[in-house]
Amino acid sequence: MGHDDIGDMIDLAGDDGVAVAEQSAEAQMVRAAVDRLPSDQRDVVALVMLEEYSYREAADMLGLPIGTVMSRLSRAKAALAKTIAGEGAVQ
Amino acid sequence: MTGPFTDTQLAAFLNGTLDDEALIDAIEAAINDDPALAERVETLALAEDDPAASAVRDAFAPVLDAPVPERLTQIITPPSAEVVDLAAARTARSLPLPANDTGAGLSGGSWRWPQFAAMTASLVIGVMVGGPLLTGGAAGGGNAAGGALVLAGADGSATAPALAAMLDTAPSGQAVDLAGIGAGEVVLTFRNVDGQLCRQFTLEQAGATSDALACTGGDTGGWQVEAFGRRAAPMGEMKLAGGDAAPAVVAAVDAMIDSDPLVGADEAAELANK
Repeated sequence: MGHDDIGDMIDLAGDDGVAVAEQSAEAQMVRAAVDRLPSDQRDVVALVMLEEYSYREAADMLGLPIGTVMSRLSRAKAALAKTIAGEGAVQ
Repeated sequence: MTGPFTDTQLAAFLNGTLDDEALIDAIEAAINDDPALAERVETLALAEDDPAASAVRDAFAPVLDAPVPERLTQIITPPSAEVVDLAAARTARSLPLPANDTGAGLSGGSWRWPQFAAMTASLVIGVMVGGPLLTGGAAGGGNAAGGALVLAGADGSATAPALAAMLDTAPSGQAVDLAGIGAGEVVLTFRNVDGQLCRQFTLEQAGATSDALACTGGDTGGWQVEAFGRRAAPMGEMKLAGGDAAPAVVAAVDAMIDSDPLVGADEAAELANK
């Protein structure tokens, strides 16, 4: 994993001139956690969690069996929960 | 095959609290094999309240609030962030070129899927840095499919191949055709305080000129983009000391430079020895 410094990302988002809308620490943390996911999991997160497609729609879009979409999201949620819990003491 | 799993197990599978990897795999396989089970799990999913999804949606709300096409162009074209510090790009994800042929994406998708696929891969970096690393699509409503460029990728896939090739070998001052990306030119080569070889360069694409600074090193030993900025003016006399280069890049060079500029044979030797 090339990710070793979540602080980099947070610093970056806070830089002047960077047009990032609201920056709560928690939102940054969640976005960083999503970024850390393997891309196959992140695609599913984007479709099902963010865009609120159903598992079946996401499966169709990704050309994957629905059980695979579900398991990827399951693992993504577990990873997100772990990351967020681990970093949770931020404020 | 519907039998072996309890609703509790399936609910845990759905909400990511199932720790048993083998069981996750087994449930995945069973769902894939058994449409009835798939339906049962889908029904369960509808009944589930998913706090994780809410948290993620909230975190991405600034992006999600925009209508989809605009959202895409926001990711691909920075709305107002003309200057982007990419110090953290090393942690970001590769931003693939969106398919120009929108039919060439993933099968069975809606019209926007190929673009969306490109976007999801870069979703976070897009949000974090306020825009793409480089775009030719210019401000006034750029075309999302038009031609973003991957300068840096997160997990170390540092630079687009043509760009990496230029950084690897091109001497300063030599314009390089970056296949499909635009034109590039290294303007300055130096070593930073850590002894890494760094190169400031320009990219010209679709009438827009961008400046960037990349250094060797990192997890993969490739080039990592340390700073990036866009300028409105055309390339012109840019070799004049980088004075009109994007401020973020100038600042990054100032902060990092720890050698005289390397030119000529010295530069070539250092490049061979980076």
